[in-house]
Amino acid sequence: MAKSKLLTAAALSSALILVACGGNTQDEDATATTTMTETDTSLETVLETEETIALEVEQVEADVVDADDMMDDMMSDLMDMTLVFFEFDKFDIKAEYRDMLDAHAAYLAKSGAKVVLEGHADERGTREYNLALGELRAKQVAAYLQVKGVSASQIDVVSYGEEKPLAIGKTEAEYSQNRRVEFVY
Amino acid sequence: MKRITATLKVFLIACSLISPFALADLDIVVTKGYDSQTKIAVVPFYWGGSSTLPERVDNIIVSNLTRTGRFEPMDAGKMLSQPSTEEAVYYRDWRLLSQEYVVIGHMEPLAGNRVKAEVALFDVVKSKRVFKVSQEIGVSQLRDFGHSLSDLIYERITGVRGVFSTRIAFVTRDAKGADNFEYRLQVADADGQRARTVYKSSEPIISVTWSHDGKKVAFANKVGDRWKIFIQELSTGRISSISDARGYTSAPSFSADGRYLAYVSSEKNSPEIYLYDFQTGSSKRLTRNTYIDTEPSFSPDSNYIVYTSEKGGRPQIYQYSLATGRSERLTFEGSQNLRARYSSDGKYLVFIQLREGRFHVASMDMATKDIRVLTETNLDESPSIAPNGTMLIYSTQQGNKGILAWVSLDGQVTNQMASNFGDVIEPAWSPYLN
Repeated sequence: MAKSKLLTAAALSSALILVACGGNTQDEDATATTTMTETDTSLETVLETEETIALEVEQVEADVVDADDMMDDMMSDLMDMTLVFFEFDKFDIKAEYRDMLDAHAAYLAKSGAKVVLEGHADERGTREYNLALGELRAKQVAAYLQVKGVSASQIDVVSYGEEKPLAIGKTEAEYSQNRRVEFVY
Repeated sequence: MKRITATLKVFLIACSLISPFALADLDIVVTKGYDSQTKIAVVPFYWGGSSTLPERVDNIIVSNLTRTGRFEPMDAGKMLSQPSTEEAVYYRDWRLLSQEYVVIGHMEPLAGNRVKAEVALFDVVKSKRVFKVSQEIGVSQLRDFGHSLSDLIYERITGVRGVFSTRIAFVTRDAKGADNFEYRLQVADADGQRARTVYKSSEPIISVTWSHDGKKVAFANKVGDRWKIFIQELSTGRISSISDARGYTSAPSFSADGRYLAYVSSEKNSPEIYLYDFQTGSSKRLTRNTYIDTEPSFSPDSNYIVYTSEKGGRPQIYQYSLATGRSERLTFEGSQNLRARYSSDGKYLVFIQLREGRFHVASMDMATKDIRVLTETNLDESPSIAPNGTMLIYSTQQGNKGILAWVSLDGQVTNQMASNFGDVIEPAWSPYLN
């Protein structure tokens, strides 16, 4: 799909960074990739450059391959995460979701793909208030993605309120599963 | 921006198709009543016909009066006599049985599937007849007749108008497989009987409300990636919608004169309260902040709109003055207070209060601001007061199932309505319909 194509592109781009920096392993991933592949032509350049340098410096090539795999895995792991969970009656995004959201943002910004952000609440409280909470949770995620370069036109926000729980039950364990925003591509 | 779409033929057809599959009846169980109840003997009505009538009017009266928690109808098996004419009513006999009131009825068949009915109420203590009704009715109207009689009996004894002839609207949700539900908006008699589906959808229906003339209901239905408000005329099934270009639109509330509809829209980022004018077809925004404002509801005089806002950090109830455009916070106790509705005389508010981790129905006396918790159940939602202000209906849960329940405004009487179907949610009590 479009997603895997992008991941390859992202991996290749970071390979170029690594080469350019003389093989230093760096943790800058998503931010670096967003600035890289602007057009198709630059992507071709990347491919060429990588090949050339890789042939010349063997040691670097090995490092690059490892880093590529790592990057691939990390990105796809982060992209596999499609749920952001919230505290009761809250819609602020917890810090632990930043990496995941950054990966989604990078993908969206690159690909121009569209995403539906579904906002949900647990069953406690009234249906209308929960509809509002779900809406604000989804909009909070949408705002984060936009700050990271995703266009508003790529994002559709829809609240389900308390109407579509992920887990059925009356304890915090289930409730915490239901207070969420889902990425639906 | 907002627009009202004209009649949708699709829905009309859908509704006429749905009616035959109306929900079977819901049974109400009285779970708590008053200590001191009025003793009333409803004598089984005499029926002069050869075939059995589809409805026993005396049974309808007994179950109506029982449900209020204010009456203790006598067991027919313990009656010394079962008179059906005034001459046969011996007050002394009923005094011996400690009865305060006696109801008798006499019914004879007429041509054309009609019935001639004579029903009377007697005050045993004063040894006099309170009223006598003599009426010809169609066999198909027996249930309506039973509710009207119940209204009359209730009013003559308590001095308060009865609500047995009113209706309730609610939503049922039935599972049709994994992640697949059928939602039906239904309108039933106040006792839950004769439920009729007026609208159905595979997506959630919430926030049902009546117009003050009882002719229309409004509600919100998720349609694709939007929530729209629909307004349905009950006699014709004709439906129109209000929808914003973006975000969700929900929580409708009619003004008393029917000219305005208060509602919530998230079009401008956070959910805000708007006022739609049916005459001009335009909307005006009433609240303006970055917090959640929702669940607007008009006061009976239409001068105020009560609503839920979390601008103080947690959801609390505020009252917006349409004259000044200012809001006043009404609730300060309880960690959350949500979804308020006025009583028809405007003297009380009923709402949902979060207290010690549980969501209860509570009421507030508008003069003293005193709050009283009315229910012992948890996860209560959607309280809606009867037009005579004596009872309110709300939804709660039993196990994981949504059920309807009633509670009196003094918290003394509670009833629950069991249903063989999935969840029953979002009840709304109609105004007086006649």
